[in-house]
Amino acid sequence: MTFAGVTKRYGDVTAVDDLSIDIADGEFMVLLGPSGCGKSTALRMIAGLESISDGTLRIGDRVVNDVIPAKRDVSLVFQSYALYPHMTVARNIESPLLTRKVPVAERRERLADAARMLGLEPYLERKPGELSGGQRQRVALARAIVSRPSVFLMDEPLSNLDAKLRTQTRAEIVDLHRRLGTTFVYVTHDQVEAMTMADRIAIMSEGRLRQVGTPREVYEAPADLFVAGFIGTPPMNTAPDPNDPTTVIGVRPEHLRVAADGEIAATVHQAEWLGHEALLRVRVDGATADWMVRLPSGFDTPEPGAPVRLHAERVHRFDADTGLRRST
Amino acid sequence: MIAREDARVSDTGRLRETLTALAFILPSLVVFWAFFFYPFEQLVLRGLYRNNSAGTNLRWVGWSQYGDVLGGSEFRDGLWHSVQFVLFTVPAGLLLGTVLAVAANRRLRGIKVFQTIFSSTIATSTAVASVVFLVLINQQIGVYQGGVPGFGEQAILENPSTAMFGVALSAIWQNLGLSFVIVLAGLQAIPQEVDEAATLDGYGPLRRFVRITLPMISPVLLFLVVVLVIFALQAFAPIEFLTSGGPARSTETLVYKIFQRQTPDQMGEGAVLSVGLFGVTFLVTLGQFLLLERRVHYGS
Repeated sequence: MTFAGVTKRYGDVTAVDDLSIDIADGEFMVLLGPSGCGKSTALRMIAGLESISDGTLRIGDRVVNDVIPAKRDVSLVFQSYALYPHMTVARNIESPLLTRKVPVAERRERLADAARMLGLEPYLERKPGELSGGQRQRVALARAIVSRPSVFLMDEPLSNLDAKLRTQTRAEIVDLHRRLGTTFVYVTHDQVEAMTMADRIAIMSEGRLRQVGTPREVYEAPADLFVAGFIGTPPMNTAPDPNDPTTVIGVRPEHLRVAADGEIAATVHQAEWLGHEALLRVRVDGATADWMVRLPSGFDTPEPGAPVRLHAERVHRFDADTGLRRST
Repeated sequence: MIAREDARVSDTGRLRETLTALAFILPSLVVFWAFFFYPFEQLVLRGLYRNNSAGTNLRWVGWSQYGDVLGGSEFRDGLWHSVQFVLFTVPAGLLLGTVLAVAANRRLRGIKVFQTIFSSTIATSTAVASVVFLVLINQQIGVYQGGVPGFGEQAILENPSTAMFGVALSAIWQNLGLSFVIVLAGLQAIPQEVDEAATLDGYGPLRRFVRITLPMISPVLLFLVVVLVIFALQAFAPIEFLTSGGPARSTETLVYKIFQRQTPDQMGEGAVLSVGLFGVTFLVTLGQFLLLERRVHYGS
């Protein structure tokens, strides 16, 4: 699937600006970004629920700009699941087949397959209202896989689940992707979901694509200051380079070490001991926000107010004006 | 064993619980008794008496009056006219309300103006609505002075075969705002994502309406049918304004016949007709819930 210069405008507002991405066949692509960054709009354009103002969108080798949603060979799992409350689970799952005149025998078979794959067999005759949130979510997944589309679209499918169920369902979706081998496009604002599930992540902000890459690439070599500040918990520390005003330096919290001969002078502001590690919140000259330092759990955390010297093992450099990464 | 001992409610505990429950439902019982049970009891009892026209000489005649009136032609004719009125107003009101609501349930610039116009008949008094239709279809002053095609030359309200239809027009128009608002509220309660899911599943507009939209607004439609039927059975003002029961008593509904029995010598008969109307309304509403409820989907 290919976005080529795809743009979506609502009046004067540009929701998606000149988006170009190639999504490989069978790839698990996550669109990641804060709310309002255009990721959901991009997904809805793939589904055909939003028209495309400019550019071309291809699925396979077909331009789908003007193809109606039902003929795009995609299925979408909504954040709210969007099940039909008056139909049984079985009817809900079958629904994409009913409209496509699939023969009865095949329909039964595909329904049984989908239900088995998602462990829904005991609930087929129930109504969605009688199911838990996690079960409803699985019905929505079953409805998506039953039509065997060439692309699966998911719009924040986990955000209505509690934390424990979210982790579990995350693994189930990754599993589903592996078993089906189909292209997945998954929208989320949660970087943990993105990092753990994606083959590649496309990070968006303010309607523009900031970086596309594997989780490792975007973590280890963020393309700009936005990505550096968005990926990682806590995010990358940044401060103007004292020796070069055109440069902003960035250091990941785990790449900082407390060392007597460290090149960075700082004052401890707070220490958070988490058991497996400790986070030190320190003030660094010139930085607009506190820096975070990740310390091993055995380390004696210094008292607030104490001066420390830090050594940066790995430094990223960004252009102070454009925010773009510098190659060296 | 110990758990079972603990779980047993003592007799004093049970009594206290019952008294507390009574205390909680007492306010609604008082209101219900004062405004429904007591007047209804008085109405039923009034049907057991006859008067002369001067209002003196109150005589107890027992249940015979109930048999005479409810078995008589007046009740039958009134009921038939009421049923006609229901048949004219309810399906048309339901259909038009739904059509308008579906048409207005979209995100367009200025749609609020249309939504306001469509719902405005709610704010119109029955008197005004009736006068509007009097001006529209009256024989002498009407915009349209002819009759219903196929039913002769006579003006709609002058022809005994079409007068009820004319009165119904006014009631349909006046109830349209209510039907519109109720159906529109039902439509707007359908999550947008459900509609989108149906689009992706390949439902065309008509199929989506029949398979997804209608079932999801069915509770609202049931409510609307019940309300419209009760309104129709109780309709009085448009009849009084437009035809006063005529021509040839063809628009005398049950309610209108009750209204006509105001003199002391007819009060007993009126009371019996009122009890009859209550019984009819009760049975029809009960029937609607029993029959239609099975086809209604109360989603979560």
